[in-house]
Amino acid sequence: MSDLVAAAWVGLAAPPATPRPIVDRLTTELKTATTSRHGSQD
Amino acid sequence: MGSRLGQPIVVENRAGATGSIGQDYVSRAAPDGYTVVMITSTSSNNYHLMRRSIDFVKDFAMIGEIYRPTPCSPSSGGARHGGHQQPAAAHRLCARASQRAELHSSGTGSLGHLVAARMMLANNLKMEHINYKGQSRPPPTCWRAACPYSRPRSPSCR
Repeated sequence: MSDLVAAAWVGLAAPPATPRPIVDRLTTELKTATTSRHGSQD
Repeated sequence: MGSRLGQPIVVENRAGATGSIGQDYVSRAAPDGYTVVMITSTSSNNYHLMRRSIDFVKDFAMIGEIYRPTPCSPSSGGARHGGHQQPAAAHRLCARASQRAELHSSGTGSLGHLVAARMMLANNLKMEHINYKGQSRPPPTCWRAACPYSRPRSPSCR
């Protein structure tokens, strides 16, 4: 049987045309929230 | 995030069409940073399988990753969790417990559905697919015994 590789991913997205500074702020806060709770995913 | 942003975050469930309903809504929301959506790898399946009009590159401003679930799958990565033996073992356990094998997923074309369907084909198993709007039920004991790393969207039986 051939292998099946399933790549699952859950993320957060904003509407298009959301200003870059807002997206960057949300990205920073999301990363802080996820790393502080689950540890680094890098 | 809410405490750090100094804003209460209200979760509004817009279930249906394997997440497409909520994604459609957010893709058309005001781009002011007050409305965001949780998306999954299943969302990219919808674009191809359901011919949804949403294009992830054009219709969203990506913020970042929340987590990476680990599906119970006959994959190279899953081999350390039992690999190819997982679905067959789960099916045997369910049969032994006289339980009907069911495949639960968050929707047609979802990652859980596709992975489980591949398991069924690869192992010649017969399971009934049951769709849920939103998160599916956690796998019952008979499946978890064979696949301890399965997540709620993984196939299960009762």
